[in-house]
Amino acid sequence: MEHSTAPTIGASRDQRDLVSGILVFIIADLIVFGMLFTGFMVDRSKELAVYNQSANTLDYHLGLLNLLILVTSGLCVVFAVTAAREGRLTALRNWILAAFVIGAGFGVSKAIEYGDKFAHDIGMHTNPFYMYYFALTGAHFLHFLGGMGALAFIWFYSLRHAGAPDFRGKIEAVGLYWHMVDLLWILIFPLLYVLGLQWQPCP
Amino acid sequence: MAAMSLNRAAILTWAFLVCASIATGLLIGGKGLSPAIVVSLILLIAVFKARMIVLHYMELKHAPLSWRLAFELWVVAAAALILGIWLFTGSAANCVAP
Repeated sequence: MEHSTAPTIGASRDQRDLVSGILVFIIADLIVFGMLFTGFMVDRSKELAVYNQSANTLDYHLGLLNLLILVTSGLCVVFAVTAAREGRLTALRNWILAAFVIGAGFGVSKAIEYGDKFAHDIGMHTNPFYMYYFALTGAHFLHFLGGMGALAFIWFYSLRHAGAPDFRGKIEAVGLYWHMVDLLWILIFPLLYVLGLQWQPCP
Repeated sequence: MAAMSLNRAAILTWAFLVCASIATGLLIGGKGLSPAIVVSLILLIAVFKARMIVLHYMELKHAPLSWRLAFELWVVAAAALILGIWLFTGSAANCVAP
């Protein structure tokens, strides 16, 4: 991205194009998720009891833990991008590795959460709430896997090509994509875990 | 030195995100507040969290204004849609008919 305080950034047109390209991709993706959020809210309003009751089966502690994992991994990526700009290669690789290892915790937590649902015979077809739950968290999980793949790619790529002219653009693009995964979870969390939490069926 | 200040902004952002997440957990577990206040506060916190990610993790604070506006607008619009539909479809009632 163009950066007024970091003169090395935006040095080549290719880098700027790559970063602009990833920003277009991210905003398009966010809009699709925004439409899914709206669909969820509209459908939810037709069957409040079902949605509230089902939301109460989710463990919001896991949702919050996931958030903490993602934003901590995101911080490591910020450090990695800064290191790349300064040409500190070892630091760059270590921060990417840290982001990957911490990020893997999200996968573990999701496996526990999905495993618990499947153990209780809860799936996509259980009811409309779970259809949205698995669709939204599943789509988010695929984005997460894509981000983990991108982190792994940039780590290996940095072994041989850290000096290549396109490297800085690539790592900035990977960083932006990884932050999108945090951004989405910040809104998916209240949508699925919080909205239905405090409600009981009327006596 | 610019990089140092970028890292510092990112660390402050992370600290804010952790505190805001703890506050969210306390609000969910807390008693005595009406559901409408709890949900409104949690969504407001979510907007601030998302905005901090956009400005300091994605560094859009230093990007051309159009990019920054596009992302900030998405954050506010998504949260406003969720809260708006929630409030206007009877969700804020203390109980729902089964």
